[in-house]
Amino acid sequence: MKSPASVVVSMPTQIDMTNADQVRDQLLAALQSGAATVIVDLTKTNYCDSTGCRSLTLAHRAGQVNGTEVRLAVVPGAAVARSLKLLELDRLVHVYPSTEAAELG
Amino acid sequence: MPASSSGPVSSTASAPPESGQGSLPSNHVPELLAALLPSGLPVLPGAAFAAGYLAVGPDSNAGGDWFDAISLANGSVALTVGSALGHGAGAAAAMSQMRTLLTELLQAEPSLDAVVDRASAFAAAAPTLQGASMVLAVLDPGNGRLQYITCGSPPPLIVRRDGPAEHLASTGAGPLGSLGATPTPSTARLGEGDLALLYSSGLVDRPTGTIWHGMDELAHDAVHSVHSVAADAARDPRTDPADCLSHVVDDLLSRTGYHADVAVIAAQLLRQPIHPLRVQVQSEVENLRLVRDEFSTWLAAAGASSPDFEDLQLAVGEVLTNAFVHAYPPGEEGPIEFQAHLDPDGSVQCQITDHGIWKDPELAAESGGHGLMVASELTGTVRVSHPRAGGTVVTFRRALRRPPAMGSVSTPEHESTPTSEVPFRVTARGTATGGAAVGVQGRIDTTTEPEFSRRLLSACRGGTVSLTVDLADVSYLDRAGTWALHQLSQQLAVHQQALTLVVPPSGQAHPALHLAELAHQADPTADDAEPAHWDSSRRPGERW
Repeated sequence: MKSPASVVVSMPTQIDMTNADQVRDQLLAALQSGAATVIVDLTKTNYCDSTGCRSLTLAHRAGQVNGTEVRLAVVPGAAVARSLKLLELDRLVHVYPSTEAAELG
Repeated sequence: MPASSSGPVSSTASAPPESGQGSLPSNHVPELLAALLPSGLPVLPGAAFAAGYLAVGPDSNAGGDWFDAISLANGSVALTVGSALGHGAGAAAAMSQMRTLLTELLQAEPSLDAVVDRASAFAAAAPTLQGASMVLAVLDPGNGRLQYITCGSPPPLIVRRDGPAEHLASTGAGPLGSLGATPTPSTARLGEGDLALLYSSGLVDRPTGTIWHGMDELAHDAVHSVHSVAADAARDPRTDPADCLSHVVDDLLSRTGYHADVAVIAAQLLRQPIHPLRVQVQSEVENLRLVRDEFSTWLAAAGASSPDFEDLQLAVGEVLTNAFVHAYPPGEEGPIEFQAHLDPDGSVQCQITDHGIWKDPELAAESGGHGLMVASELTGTVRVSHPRAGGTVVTFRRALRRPPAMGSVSTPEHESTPTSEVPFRVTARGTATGGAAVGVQGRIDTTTEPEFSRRLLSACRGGTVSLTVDLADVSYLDRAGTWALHQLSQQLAVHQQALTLVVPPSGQAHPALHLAELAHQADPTADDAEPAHWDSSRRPGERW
């Protein structure tokens, strides 16, 4: 069976210590799907703290190991964009303004 | 000619991140102007503020109006609106100078009249600031006392919570830089929910009628807007007072017909001051969001907007997470207390307290102290202390600011002067009393003012002969014209000669002279004009 080129994983509106582990597991599962690209849809997320960013970092590292690219879709100027910048995640992972833009690469 | 709105006017409401943003046509606010005006207004526990600027005129022909709200050390806040004469980068730079000077003087001088005195002395020596008009007020949110001085500017408008609007009385000082007695401040009192509006004369300089009509219309429109915004707010409980105030400012600036720049600042005494927030929970993971949600609701009610809102939310979230994760040993729970309050100076102070055992961030788990780093980045100084009784207290603060509304409308250059009017003309007339006399027709504005000045100066022989100026047939008189008359009267005073102005109360020039405090120069019996009743009819101070 042919693997899809990319999968989009929708993120919750808030990511913090109460659900960061779930988010990490959800992303790790998507990385096992065989898709070449995993798009993390953060466009509906209005809060993501350092715990949430850590889950995203872990997913990115796991992707590097199995050859899957992790891309983030973040509304420019949103609170999440600020978090990513503060924790320098935007330097590590490619960030796009929408899931469509992320799919195009 | 009425200016036409060059962009869509939409209303913004709801969510805190957008609150305070104007909904004005804003395709073209000149960059320089935006950079020289305040980027934010303070957010205080007892009063809400909103401001707006509308640049009017041919593209990038920005004027020299200003607005500002400056928090003072005693919890009061100074409000100012003013206007330098002229247009363009020079006028914008001049107003910026005055803003800086006022900020400095308000901290240094003990009284409002001393501030205005020194500002006026500064303007007298600075060509670009001579003739600038200004209204300066200090509001004490604690008791509603509003002290103000008007300098050639319309007086503040008060809209009472229960209905009527009232133009306060002018304090009798002329434009900045004009010689004269030290102005005495007047005092008004705001009740809870009452609104004070300070504005530049562009807001009441309407295409039809005089400035008095413009002030009438403004009082009417302001009352209408305040009531309709209040009715909307009653339907949406999330709307905070500062949002309502922003909508009122938007409503007023979205009217059409402006032909000069407009600056507005509004202050409203809050009916329900912002009380401190205190939440205490057990360190169960589920309670983290509960505390954050409480804080978000409180922060929105306090009037925080983007990016203060998101930054404080994240800073509090990070420090709380540290406390939830590290304060108590795994499997044990303990109390975590969160407090927030809005200081009189307009900054939010947050405090997170636990009674557990502090772990050095470097040694604490794999998260590696990101939380405190993020909080410091977002708020400046984060203080971590360990009381002797045990536990950890983390405090930080951040000043809240709300953005003003910025917009612009274009008026094509050729529309700025109606062609149907009588052309500008100065005619010499002999008088029996020995002095000189001239009659003026048409518009006196920035274009005709230089000729107006020259003709008058030459008529009074450089100020050595008394002069009577008949302004009955003047179709428009702007601040450039009244400033020319100020300078002329000073020139005549040097030689102990008098300047007499003749204007009927119904004349177009009447309100402009009144605002410029040149009314005392008028001779009600001169010439064949009707007697000028400077203290009658449409005077500020009247109730609408």
